[in-house]
Amino acid sequence: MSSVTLSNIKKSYGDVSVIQGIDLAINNGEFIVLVGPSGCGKSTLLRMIAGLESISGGTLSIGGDPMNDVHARDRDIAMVFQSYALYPHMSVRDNIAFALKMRGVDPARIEREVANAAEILSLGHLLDRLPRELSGGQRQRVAMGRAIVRHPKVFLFDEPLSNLDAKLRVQMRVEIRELHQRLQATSVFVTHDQVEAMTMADRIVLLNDGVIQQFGTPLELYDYPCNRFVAAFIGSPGMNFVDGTIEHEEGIAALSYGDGRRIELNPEMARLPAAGQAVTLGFRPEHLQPCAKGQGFETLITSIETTGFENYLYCEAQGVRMCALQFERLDCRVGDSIHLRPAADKLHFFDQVTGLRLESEAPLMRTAS
Amino acid sequence: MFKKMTTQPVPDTTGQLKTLLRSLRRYAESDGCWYSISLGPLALILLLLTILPIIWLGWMALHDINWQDGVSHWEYVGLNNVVLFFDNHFYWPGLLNTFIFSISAVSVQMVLGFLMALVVSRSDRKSRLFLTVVFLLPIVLPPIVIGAIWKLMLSYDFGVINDFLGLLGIAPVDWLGNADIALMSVIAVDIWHWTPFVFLLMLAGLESLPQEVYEASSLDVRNAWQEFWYITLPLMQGTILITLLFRMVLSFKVFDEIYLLTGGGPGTATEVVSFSIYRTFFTEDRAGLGAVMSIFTLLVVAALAVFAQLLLKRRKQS
Repeated sequence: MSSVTLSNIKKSYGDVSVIQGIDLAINNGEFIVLVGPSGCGKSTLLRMIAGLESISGGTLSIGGDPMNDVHARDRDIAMVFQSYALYPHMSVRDNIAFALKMRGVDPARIEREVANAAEILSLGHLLDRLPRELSGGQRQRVAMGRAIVRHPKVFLFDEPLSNLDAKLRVQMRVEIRELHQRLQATSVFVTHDQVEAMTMADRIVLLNDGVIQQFGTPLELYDYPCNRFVAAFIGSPGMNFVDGTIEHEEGIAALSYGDGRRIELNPEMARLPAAGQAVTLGFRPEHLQPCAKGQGFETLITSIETTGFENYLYCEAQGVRMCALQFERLDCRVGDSIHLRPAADKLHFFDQVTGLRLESEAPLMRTAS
Repeated sequence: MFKKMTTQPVPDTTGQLKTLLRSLRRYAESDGCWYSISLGPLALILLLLTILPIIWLGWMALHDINWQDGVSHWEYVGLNNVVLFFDNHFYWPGLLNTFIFSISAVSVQMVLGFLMALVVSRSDRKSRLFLTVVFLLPIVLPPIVIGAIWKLMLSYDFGVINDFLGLLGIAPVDWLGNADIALMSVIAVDIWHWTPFVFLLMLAGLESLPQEVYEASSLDVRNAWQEFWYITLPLMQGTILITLLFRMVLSFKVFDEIYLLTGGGPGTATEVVSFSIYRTFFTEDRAGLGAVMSIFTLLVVAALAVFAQLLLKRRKQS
């Protein structure tokens, strides 16, 4: 186990810059998730840590030792690939033992390590099979077994769950997390799935266009997104946004939007934007609740999704589309009108031009760039 | 005695016709019908072009065939041609030479072709293009040009190779005229000619290997040799076996290089089976004997192919 430190790390292919100066300090034993949309540079960053991509600028250290010019095989890291990258001609046993054999480890110790990994990952009965004879989940476990036996300084996971079906993905998510709690190994996990990021990470690094948007615990990112991108990316369905202007009239604060419609705001809110300021108001689906006529704003239901224990109402008001999450089963249909009101203490304000958060109540929030 | 009248059922021709039409329609819509229509003509052509000539060869082998006034005269001789075949002075040394030729040439070609493919697959884009073009040159040259070039280069009197040896103070060598080294010279030319073929198949094999497996191995292995021995070689086993089979079969049929460089000589030093068959058929006009030689050669090549297939099958099963 080791800490990983990235100082002003850059990556470019010719004139195209894909990682634009990233600073990141990963603590010993921490489980970090790199998340972001496709093409944001998360896999590239992971591969740079692994030594599979060269570093164009900056310094990478593992356990305090600079690693920029160290070959991948000498970095003492283990990686689980998206496609598992198992050796197709080797049995499960040989796949797991391969790295140790190449390092000339004593055969008796190799046998012990393989048996131990097989027990942890429930692979004992599959040791003599070839990878092609295994299911996706079993291959995934073999890939993890191959990493475990090496006792590396750092575990790297490159979207290892994306080839699994939804049910197996949830199961493996829990297993990887439990494995981390057991081994307490420093881990960096790449995913484009924000649910995976939220459920697995000690801390999340949210990337976009090669820049860290926010670095913090899952709940910091969820409750105090530092900009509109983070607010939209984290949470499913995403946060609702309404562009408008702040008004203060006779002690009542409101957001004016569309053709003069208003959303009343709590005047006691900390650092309410100044009157006349053009802002984007954000509120999450679970914070948008039905209310009596005259209290909130009127919307038209355009679609309803029911999962059994939760209901998503997709509504439209003055051309603004929004989603409300209801845990109670409402007696309404598509085409009905419904009055909704966002919880006054759960509102987020963002600058319409820069997208940055306007009021900050996140004492623990950190932005890394 | 009163006989009970029995009524014969009137054949329902309309019903039978309908059933027949229904069956025909069902057959027309079935996969079997479409397999027959689409593959039938091809199977027929294959039969005409491959099976019939072999049957024809067998028929020829039982005859002594002479040409008089532009007309062939067939005389049935039974297995006489087979007896003559076993006493033939050219075929058997030729068969031994062919085995030596195939095994030596193909072994070197496999090693060289694989190494060249490894070099190219690890090269950068520019070097890769340059090396591929250079490596492929021999295979794009027509055999007649290759024969002419090498005959000149290996010439005892004015060959560039002997000129070069002269510069080093080494006496000239009769590369194609000395019975002890003529076969080796022809093998060297064949290696030069056909290594690009192996290179091409090996390169295609290397390119199709899963990249992520190499990325995983780059974290596991300690050096390039381990990667080659434990990853590349086992993963390339299928390509290697298929290429080997191709080359063995092709080299067993070598003719042009022998014809152009040595004509099978000196003596029977470079005699190969294809050349023996050619000589028997077209120089000695003994088509019956030539047919026996052809059938025997065909059986040897087929045995090689079956052996290689069995190897491949065994590998797949294991």
